[in-house]
Amino acid sequence: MEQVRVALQASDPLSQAGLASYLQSRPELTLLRSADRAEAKVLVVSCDRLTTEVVATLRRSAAEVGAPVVLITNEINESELLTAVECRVVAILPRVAVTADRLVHSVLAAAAGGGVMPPNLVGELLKHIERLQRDVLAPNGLNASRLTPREVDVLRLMADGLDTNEIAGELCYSERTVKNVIYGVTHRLKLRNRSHAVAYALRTGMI
Amino acid sequence: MPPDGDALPNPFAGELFLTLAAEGRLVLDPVSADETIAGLERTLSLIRARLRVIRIWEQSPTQRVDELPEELAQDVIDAVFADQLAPGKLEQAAAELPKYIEALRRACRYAQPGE
Repeated sequence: MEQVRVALQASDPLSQAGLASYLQSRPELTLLRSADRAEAKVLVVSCDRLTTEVVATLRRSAAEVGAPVVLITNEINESELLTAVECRVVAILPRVAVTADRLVHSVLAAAAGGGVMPPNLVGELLKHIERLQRDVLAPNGLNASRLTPREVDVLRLMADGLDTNEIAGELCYSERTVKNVIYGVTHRLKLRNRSHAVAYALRTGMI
Repeated sequence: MPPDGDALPNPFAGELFLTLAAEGRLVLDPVSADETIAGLERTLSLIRARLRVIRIWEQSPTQRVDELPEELAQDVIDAVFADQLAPGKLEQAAAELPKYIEALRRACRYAQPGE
C-alpha cells in the first residue's frame, strides 16, 4: 500500500514533537520534512485557537499545496468553522481528544476523500444554514413563543392603556392573577416595570 | 463546537458554499439536499414577503399600526421590528439565500450516480 505523505505544523514545539511521534509510529504514513510540505497529500495543523496568523498560514497552504487539512484545535466557533472549511479543513479534532488512532484515522480518511468533506462536517454546515434562517426570521432569538397566550393578552391590554383592574375585568381574571402574570413577564425577561414590558413586547413584535 | 448563535459581522457564506460545491468538496445526498433547499425556499419566500411589507409600510403616510386591519398588523410588526433589530439583514438574506440554494443543488448533483 502506498504511504500517505503528511506534513505537520504545530504552534508549539511540544505539540509538534508529540504529534510527530503519533504520525511516525504508523507504517501507512510518511511524515515529511517541513521543506517538503508541498508534496504532502494531507496537512496536519495544530493550534490553540484559529488566530489570524493560523488562518493566514492555512490560506497560504490551501493556495500552494491544496491538500486537505486535519485541524487539531480547542473550541471552534461557527465563524471559525466556515473559515477553516474555506481553507480546505476536512476534519477537526479537539486537542484534548487527540490520540494516535484518531489522528491516523482522520489523516487516512482525508487522504481517501481527496478534499471532499466528511458527513459530520457537512452536518455542521447544514446547522449553519438552519441557524442563519432562524436568525434572519427572529433576530436575537426573539419571538412570540417566549410568551404564553395569557401573557400576550395582558400585555396587549396594557399597551392599550388599561390598568390592572380593567385588564382583570376584560379577561375575567382576578386582579391578583393579572399582577402575577405581569410580575412573571417582567421578572423572566428582566424588565424594569410595566412600561418597559409593553415597550419591549412591542419593539420585538411579541404583541 | 460551542452553541450556535455567535454574533458574526457577516453571518452569510453563500459564496463559500458556491465555491465548495463548484470544487466538488461539498457533496450532499439528494434527500438532505432537497429538505434543506425546501426550507431555504420557504425562508426566502417569507423574507421577500417581509421586504414587500416594509416597503409598503415605508410608503404609508401615517405609519400607525392601530390603523391597519388586525390580520395585517402582526405582519407589519414582525417585519418592521425584525428589520429594526437587525437593519439590512433581510436584504442581505434575500441576496445570499439563493446562493445557498444554488450551491446545494450543485452539491446534490455530485452525489448522483453516473454524473
